[in-house]
Amino acid sequence: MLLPQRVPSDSVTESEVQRKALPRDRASAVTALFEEHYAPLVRMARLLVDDRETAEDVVMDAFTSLYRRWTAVRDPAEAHRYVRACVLNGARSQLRRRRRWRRHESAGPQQDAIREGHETNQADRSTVTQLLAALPYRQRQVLVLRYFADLTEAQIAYELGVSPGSVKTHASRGLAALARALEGSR
Amino acid sequence: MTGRQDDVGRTLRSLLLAETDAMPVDIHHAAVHLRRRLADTRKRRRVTLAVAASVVAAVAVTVAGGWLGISKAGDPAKDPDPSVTVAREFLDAFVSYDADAAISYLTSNAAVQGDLIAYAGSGDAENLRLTLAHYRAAHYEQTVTDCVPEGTAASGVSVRCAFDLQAVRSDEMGLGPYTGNYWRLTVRDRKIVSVQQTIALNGTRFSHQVWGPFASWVHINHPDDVETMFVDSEMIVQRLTEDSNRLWEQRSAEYVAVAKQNPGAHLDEPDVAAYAAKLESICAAAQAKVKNEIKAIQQQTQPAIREARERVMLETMLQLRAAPLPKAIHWPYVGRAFPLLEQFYAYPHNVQPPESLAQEIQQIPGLNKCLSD
Repeated sequence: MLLPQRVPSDSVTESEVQRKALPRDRASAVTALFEEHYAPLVRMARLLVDDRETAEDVVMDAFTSLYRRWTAVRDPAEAHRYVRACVLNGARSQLRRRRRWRRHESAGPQQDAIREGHETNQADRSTVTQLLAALPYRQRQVLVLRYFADLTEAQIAYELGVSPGSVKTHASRGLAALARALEGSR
Repeated sequence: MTGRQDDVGRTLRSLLLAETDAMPVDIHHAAVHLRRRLADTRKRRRVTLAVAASVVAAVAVTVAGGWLGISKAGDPAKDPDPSVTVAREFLDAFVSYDADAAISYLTSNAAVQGDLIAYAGSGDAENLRLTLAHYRAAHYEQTVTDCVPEGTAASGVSVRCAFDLQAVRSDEMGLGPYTGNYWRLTVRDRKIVSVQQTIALNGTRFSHQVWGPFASWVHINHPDDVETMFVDSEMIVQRLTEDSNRLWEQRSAEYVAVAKQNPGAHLDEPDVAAYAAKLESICAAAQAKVKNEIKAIQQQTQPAIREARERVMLETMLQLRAAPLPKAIHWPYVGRAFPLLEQFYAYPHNVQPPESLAQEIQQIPGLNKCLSD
């Protein structure tokens, strides 16, 4: 038996995705999926990384990766899940690279900001994205997947490779921190 | 979740939607960019095929030349692309942890970036030395599998080198190698002007099979070491100092020893025996469910059967991982048993997993029934 590299397809959105037929050739199929999912994925990525350009790069990389792996992807729903997983991991890698690079470029005061999760371009961000960016990355991921991408706890658990209990904990801690921050900002 | 948190969740959802709805996304421009990238990818695939074809041709010429007594001078297999040679030599130095040799291939202002490395020019040699010392301490082993020229630009020739990764002693636990990683190097005048290392944290599952459990183990068992070993409180980026490297060597060895402990030795403890029985019942139920689902398929095609098996095994892995673990056997299951089972399931449908892997899993209490079909 096999372990699928994907999550259960129990959301309405994914059922809808499954019903659509794709063009048969690889490039046209990837382009069709791109046209359908690019904008929402960029928006999701934007909530996970520091700026829009990085979000666009992460999503573009994800679709390029889908193109390379096309023969291993069997249907539109699976392709959508694959791209979303690439975006999640690409966003994490980007932040990781950026942290290392920034740490390397200038040790000192900026280091403290990085460790607290405030490494973002503040001018470019709304209050809600600033608050999200201040959370530990795992909490940020869980909240974005739960409240923006509308995934269930089981789906998030599989996407992130953690237990459903851990998802609950991250969500609960993240929401508690946001509640405190929102009250503090009033 | 409390009522207060529900309210915050609803507020968060509406704020996120309002925030992102207001964000302009230029799909037209992006689509043009995507088409260009796909065309580049196709071109690279053709280059790869051409290289493969030329290797085959070279082998054929060599063999035929040997029979016919023809000189091998000018044989393309004997004269590989010099940029690829430089890239390979640099990586040889890198994977041997030889910082001085690696630096000798770089231009004075070369930038080396990646998931596990940052270096900016010759003034930064000490940082590269510490990085490679960290690689050695954390048992990063990179096996370069393939180097392919991707194209030429003003900055030089771009070469992509794929590599398999073992790290944090994953090989000592029977995990990995983790594939899908690559280096992209730009070579000009036999010197390297830039290097980008990319580790596939997605498809390889390295992150949650090896890195995550190890970081959790350190956090729980050696909280005072976290700041020495990691730059950030989320434990994503390693700190590069001699003290950190010493701890990586020591703690990774301890972690592997703990993860490799035989959980069967604790079966006389009631909670462990109950846990093993629970896993066994989950696996047995999964097998029964697979059989029933396959029976219920109207058209017994291979894809439909495979789909049913995959769906059930996904649920099964989630259930196995969600079952509350007794403390005594926590790390042997989280750090080794479950990753081994995932590794077993990750083999493609038409490829038999190695017998040794199946044997390892069969020795883990509770998981035996997850292997039978």
